[in-house]
Amino acid sequence: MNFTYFIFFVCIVVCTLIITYWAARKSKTTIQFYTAAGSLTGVQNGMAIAGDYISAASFLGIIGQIALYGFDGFLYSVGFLVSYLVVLLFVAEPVHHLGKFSLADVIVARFPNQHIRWIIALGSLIISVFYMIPQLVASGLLIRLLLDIDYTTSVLIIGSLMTIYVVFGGMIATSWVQIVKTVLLLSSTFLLSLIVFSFYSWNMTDLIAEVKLGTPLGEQFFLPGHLLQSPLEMFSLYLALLLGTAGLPHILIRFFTVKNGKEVRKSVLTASGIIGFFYLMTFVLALGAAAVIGYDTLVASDSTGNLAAPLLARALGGDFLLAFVSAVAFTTVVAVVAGLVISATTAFSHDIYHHIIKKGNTTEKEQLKAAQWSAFGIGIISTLFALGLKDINVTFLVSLTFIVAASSIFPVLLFTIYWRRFSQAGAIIGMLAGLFSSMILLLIGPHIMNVENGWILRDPVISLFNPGIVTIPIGFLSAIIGSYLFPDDGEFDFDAFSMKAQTGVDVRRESR
Amino acid sequence: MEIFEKWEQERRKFILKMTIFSIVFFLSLPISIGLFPEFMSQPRFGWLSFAWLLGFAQIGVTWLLCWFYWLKAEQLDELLIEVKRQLEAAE
Repeated sequence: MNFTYFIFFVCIVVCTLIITYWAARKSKTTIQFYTAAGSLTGVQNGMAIAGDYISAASFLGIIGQIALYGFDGFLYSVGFLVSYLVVLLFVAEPVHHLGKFSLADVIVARFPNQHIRWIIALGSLIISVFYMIPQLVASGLLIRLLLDIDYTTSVLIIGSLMTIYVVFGGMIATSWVQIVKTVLLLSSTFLLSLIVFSFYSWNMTDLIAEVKLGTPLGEQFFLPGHLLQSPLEMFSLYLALLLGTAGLPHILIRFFTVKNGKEVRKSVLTASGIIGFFYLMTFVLALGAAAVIGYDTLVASDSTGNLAAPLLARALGGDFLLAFVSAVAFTTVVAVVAGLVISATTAFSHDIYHHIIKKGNTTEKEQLKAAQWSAFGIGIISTLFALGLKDINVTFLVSLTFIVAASSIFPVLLFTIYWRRFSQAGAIIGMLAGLFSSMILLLIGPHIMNVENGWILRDPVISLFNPGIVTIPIGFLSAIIGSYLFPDDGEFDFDAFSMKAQTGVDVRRESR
Repeated sequence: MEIFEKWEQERRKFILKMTIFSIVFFLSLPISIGLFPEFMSQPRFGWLSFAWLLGFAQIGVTWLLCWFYWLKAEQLDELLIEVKRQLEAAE
């Protein structure tokens, strides 16, 4: 590792550790640990959401995908952005009004019952951990390529950093690491886009002409259909992306960190502004990568195209810019995994330990201790998994996360908030059906069953890489059928609940 | 409470309109590319085909709809202040 890299790398580690130290002094109570005591402003939270959401897979992966496959890569970024509209319209404010620390709190506000809490907590835990492991594996491979340190060391560094942030600084440290990451990411991609434009003397036509020369797709580069062959596959992917975000626990718990509905809206507006702007820039960078570097060199250095942005940085700005972009990629990774650690921690220590095992009988101090130990445990276990799964292709876990979120948590959350006749049994059945159908369909799909390099060397039973088109309706339908077959006894005051969900005004105060 | 019902109705109507528009508009991209790939990928303006235009438009429209929601929510919040005032008076 040369000296420039080392300086950038140390700067980031030191800067985030200072944040953690400062946050640790403010995380003395559970409410501060889990939600930063609602102290963030909407804009800060929006930046943190963007930092939570834009993973290394988006930053490096999407640039690579567009550079290699043109239009189809772009479809991903659009889907990711549009999903925030679903979040804003249907779930953001109700989640803030109903919940306290965790996603399960929101559902339990309607069905006060341990079974429900179990299932939602388990779902949140599964989603967060399954999302974290591929991020860690990918980042280990990536940091190895960028900084030239071996896989084990890079996973250990990232794993211990994320654990330190969460254990000592809780939500406050996590949020500020994410905010710093967003600022770094936006400024570096903006800078790089400007350099791309100036490289072609601000002439779009030249850039486009170069892109067509640089890729074997030629004129075809700008046509759809290179990555996703069938229309069904494309529709299915798009649907899972659109609805998935509204079911991701680590994004939803961020709405507890602001103080009222207006700040929640401001958060989503800020986040969608940043994310949209970011994806527009990734598009420019991808064109730049295809034009400046060319398909053959991109594929030769990394067949997935993940190195498109770093290679572009080196071609345009030499080693220094490459060092900067690598440092940004590193920050991107730690910010995302820290967000996932805190979300898994909340599900485990608040829901499973505090509410289910201890039945709510723990003191404030014990809860905080439990939360810190859970964060520690989750950090270590995920890091160990990531170390063990080095040589196994785990990227499909990312699609699994979005599909599970869209077909289990999203339907249950939506019906809980808006549907009067939704019942407890419906929630349980919907959640489980969505969860299991997504897992089973992925298991018998081409990700795992694959004649060439699958875990099971056979022809896949179903040919969809993205089974969202099947599992999302399964999740919704089983929740509906469950509710009609096993309705609740009807003592529940849905009007008061609905009012609380939508406005935050609690009219049930006296009756309790 | 009358004023809360008014609030709820207005909100519901707004969300419904947004939802219907969104479903039609946002799903039109994958569906149209799937059904009419030739038509959608024909370069129309330089390299820009309808597929790209629709793709970029989705980013713009997302921002626009978020902005509409923001404006509507501000307006509804005013009504809500009245709701809260009446609730307190009732107690």
